[in-house]
Amino acid sequence: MRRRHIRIAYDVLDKKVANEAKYVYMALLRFRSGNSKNIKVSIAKLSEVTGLKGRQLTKHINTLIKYKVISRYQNKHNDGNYGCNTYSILCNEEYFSEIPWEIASNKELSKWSMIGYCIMKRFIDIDKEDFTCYLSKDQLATYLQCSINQVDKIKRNLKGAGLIDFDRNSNKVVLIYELALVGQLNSNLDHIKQVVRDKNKAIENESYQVII
Amino acid sequence: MRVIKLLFKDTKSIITTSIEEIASSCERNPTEFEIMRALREMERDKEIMIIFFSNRI
Repeated sequence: MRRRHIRIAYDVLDKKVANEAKYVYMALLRFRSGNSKNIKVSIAKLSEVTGLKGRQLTKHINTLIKYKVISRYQNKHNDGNYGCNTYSILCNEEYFSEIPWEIASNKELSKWSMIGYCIMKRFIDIDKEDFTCYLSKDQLATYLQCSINQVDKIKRNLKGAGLIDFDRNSNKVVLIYELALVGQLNSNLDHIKQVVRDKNKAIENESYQVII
Repeated sequence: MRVIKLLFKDTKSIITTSIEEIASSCERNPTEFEIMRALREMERDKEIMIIFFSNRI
């Protein structure tokens, strides 16, 4: 099964803007087609997805524009009427947190919890494959720009949704949902291996190789 | 872009590619995690050797 992911740039997570604005960026990415930098979506649709009212949404989009995360262009039809907005991604997307689609579109999670999850995902070690991050409450509070109590609430929210697991008085957080997904990945691995082998063959055919 | 250099042990050839390039060549849109896992398995099976990887921050 093809699994979709949303890629939240570290550049956005590091910005000192409201978490709601980051959440709006996340919602925008849900309408992204492939790796295209342009996203065409109406305010009404965004409002439906985020649960924010038009005015709040516009405020957060303006914040994102101010901090050069996105730019906005409004389509104008031939009859003079305005159509959908087109947003272009301007931020650096070299480094990102990959969030599974089902988590990004989970309506039970609060906006803060989503951003909290992105930050936890950022600090896992991909090579270890254990989906474990070590973040103290203070660190999480700094990254989320909120109080320690709010961090507790976010962690409880994520634990209640079955996405993470943690012990009291421990910095260790395990992303159990994604850890469980690992078992389903094996079918994809053979395909990826074949793609890598094909790249070698293509180079051989071009006679562009370094002989050791 | 995360550049990666692979040595194929059977043909003794080195290819320079990136995680994004491998992902775009795959039909099923794999994640970075899946690609790294596949490469590590290939390395474990002595098929390739990862000789350079520009790590994430």
